[in-house]
Amino acid sequence: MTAVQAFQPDDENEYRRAELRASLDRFVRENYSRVLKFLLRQCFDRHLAEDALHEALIVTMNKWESVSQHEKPLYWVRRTAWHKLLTLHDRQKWDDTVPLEFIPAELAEPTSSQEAEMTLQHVLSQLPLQQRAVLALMVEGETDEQIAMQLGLAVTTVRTYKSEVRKKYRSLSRTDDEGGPA
Amino acid sequence: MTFDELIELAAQDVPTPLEHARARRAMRRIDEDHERRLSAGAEIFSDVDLRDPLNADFTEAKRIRRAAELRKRGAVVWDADTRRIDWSDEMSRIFGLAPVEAHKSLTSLYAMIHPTHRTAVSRRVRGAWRGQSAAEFVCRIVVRDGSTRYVEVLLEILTDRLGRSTGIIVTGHDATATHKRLQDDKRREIRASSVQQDLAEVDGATGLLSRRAFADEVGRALQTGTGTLLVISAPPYIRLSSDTETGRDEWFGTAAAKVIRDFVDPDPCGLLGPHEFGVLMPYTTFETAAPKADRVIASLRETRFMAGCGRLDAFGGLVHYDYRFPTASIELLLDAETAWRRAKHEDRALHVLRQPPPADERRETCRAGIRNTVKNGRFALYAQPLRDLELNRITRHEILLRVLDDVGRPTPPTAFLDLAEHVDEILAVDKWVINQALRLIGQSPQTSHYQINVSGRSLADPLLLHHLRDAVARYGVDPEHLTIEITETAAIGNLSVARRFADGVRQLGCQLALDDFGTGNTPLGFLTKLPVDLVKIDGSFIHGLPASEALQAVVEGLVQMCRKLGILTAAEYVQDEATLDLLRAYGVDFAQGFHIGEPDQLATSRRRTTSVELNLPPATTLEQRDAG
Repeated sequence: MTAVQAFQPDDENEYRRAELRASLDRFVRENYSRVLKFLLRQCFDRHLAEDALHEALIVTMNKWESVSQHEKPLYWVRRTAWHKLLTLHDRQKWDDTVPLEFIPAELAEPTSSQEAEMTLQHVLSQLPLQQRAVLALMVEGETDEQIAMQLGLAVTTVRTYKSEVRKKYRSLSRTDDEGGPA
Repeated sequence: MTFDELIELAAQDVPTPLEHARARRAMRRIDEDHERRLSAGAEIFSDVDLRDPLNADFTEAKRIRRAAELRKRGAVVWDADTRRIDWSDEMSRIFGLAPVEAHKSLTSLYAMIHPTHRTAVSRRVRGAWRGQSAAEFVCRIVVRDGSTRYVEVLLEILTDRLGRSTGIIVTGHDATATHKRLQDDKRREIRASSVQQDLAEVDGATGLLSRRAFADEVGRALQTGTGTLLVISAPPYIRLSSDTETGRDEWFGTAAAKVIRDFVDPDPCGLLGPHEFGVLMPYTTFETAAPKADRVIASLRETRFMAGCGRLDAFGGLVHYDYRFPTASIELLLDAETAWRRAKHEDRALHVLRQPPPADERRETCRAGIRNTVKNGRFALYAQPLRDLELNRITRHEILLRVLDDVGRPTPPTAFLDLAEHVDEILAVDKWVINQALRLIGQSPQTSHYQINVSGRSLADPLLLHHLRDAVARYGVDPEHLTIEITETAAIGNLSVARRFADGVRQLGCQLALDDFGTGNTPLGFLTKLPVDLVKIDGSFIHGLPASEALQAVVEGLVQMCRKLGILTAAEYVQDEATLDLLRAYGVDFAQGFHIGEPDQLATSRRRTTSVELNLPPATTLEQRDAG
């Protein structure tokens, strides 16, 4: 017996379902690109990221009634999508290489948000998985505690990762300075 | 740009209308997938934690543990207050323990870490605790049945709301397969750089194949098809006694090789001896090959070289081969060599050997030629110094054989010795060498230690030992200053006979050495089965040693092994100081090579003959057969 059949098609339920559905549509419209971008900052493979996100959204659709009651449904969706991505990663050992178009020819000072994204992708590609997630959430402006909650890490670990990410950025921009013309 | 500025700029990237459209399309697809799964009765949220991540009811430890479980990671939690440790069922599985029976304590956990990793792991744990930082590492553990696993772990420090450390949580999974794969990838990488890319031995100056490599090439062709083999002798028209020293010989060799290659590329070419070249022409007949050979020889003769070097004389011998009439490659080469001598004798450019001699006749003429060479003493003995690397001075000399060519100049004996071994006449040569060398040593002040070469083939002859004993006594040579080197070119057939010889040599007071160790026919087992005193590492391991880590590994390992067995080591072919430094570092006892000292003539042999060809079958026999 499935959830759809469990409800009698009376008016009140119908109304509630329509409202839930509308709020879900609104949620997806507002957050789809954001979560996808979060995933893309870790795996560089659009198909894999979309697959993970769709899996997560199917669960979301099924459980929206309770998820929508969360303080921040986005956190739950994002965490679930991230877990789906990690599962896919564990399962198929994805190819961790960055497509060439993501690697800027030279690490010039980014002037637009797109250029900044390119530089960011370059930094991300040099990091281990968990640190990528931490950096991606830093870009979204989350606090240490919020990042820790979503990624299932200790707060101290988030701090460690953050400092390692900064260290990596410094070392990358330094070698790029040396490589470029003086 | 600072890191924070970069993040701020990247965060300004807002979704485009295109992305909104994509979201709408995605929503439709998700809807369909959802419906399909519901109707199929598939489980939708099997590996999903449905709780709100912001739910504050959970302690940090519990939260991390749940996340780990969801990803099928094991978890170990240590509480700083109670000093108690606990681990999840998944971790028990990784440790190879049953979940219920496991006695969970810090000591039992520590005992499961592989002894080689214990110190490193405790150091990492303490470091993480002190710095309140996370640590990631791969740890080797020993499970109950004694087997080893690799666990990839993330070690995190738990804190309370005030930021005080309250415990440690370690999450991890069995990464043995991954670890092994990485290990094997690394190994493959090393292997790819340590294995020689091209097996063909190529002469440095001319770029042609060495005699051995060319013979291999001929051997392969012999088994697969038909064709012709051309051997060209192209010595300088006017020979000077100083040719070797002035480099004129080498210069002519390079020039001739260039001319020949221009004509016959891409057929395989080999440098068979001084001024002697081989060209293999597969799938040709006498009719097609002879004109080509004529052209090559004419070109060699016509070419004028600059700066008073004059010109080349050239003769060619052409033979045919066919896989249906099997011959050995050494015999085919011999036939072709006989053919160019015949051409020279008849003063023609090319001799085409249409009818090869029967095998036994060829063998007999060969043996006669070798015996003749030995009888006439057409050899010269040279002595090359070996430096004792500990004392850093010359303490030994190796006696080297040189065969005198038709004008009485010494040439390297490789081809001659190969042939002598092939037709089983090497014993006569070895006896001559022992006799002459000991005679000359007996006449000298005997201040050095001398090493004499004996073919592995000759060991089977019980008379050789008597011969050696007699010679030592007759010429009054101190046997303690004598080493017999067994050359590796031919396999030592019978080990117990060889052992008897070796024991006899040592009873005499002489020492025993294995020459060219590592490339030829001497298995490692001989090091324990024969009472060897010295191993000479083959020159192919020494040449280019400073540039090759692979060779360094081989030499270093070989030396270590020999030291433990009480065997001295010597390195041939030492050509520069860098090689010498490495050998010294490895603890090699002796070094030999042009960098140490070139061979010097020990003394000329009794008399010199000037007319006869080296191992040439008498021309009359050939003429008789052709006529018949």
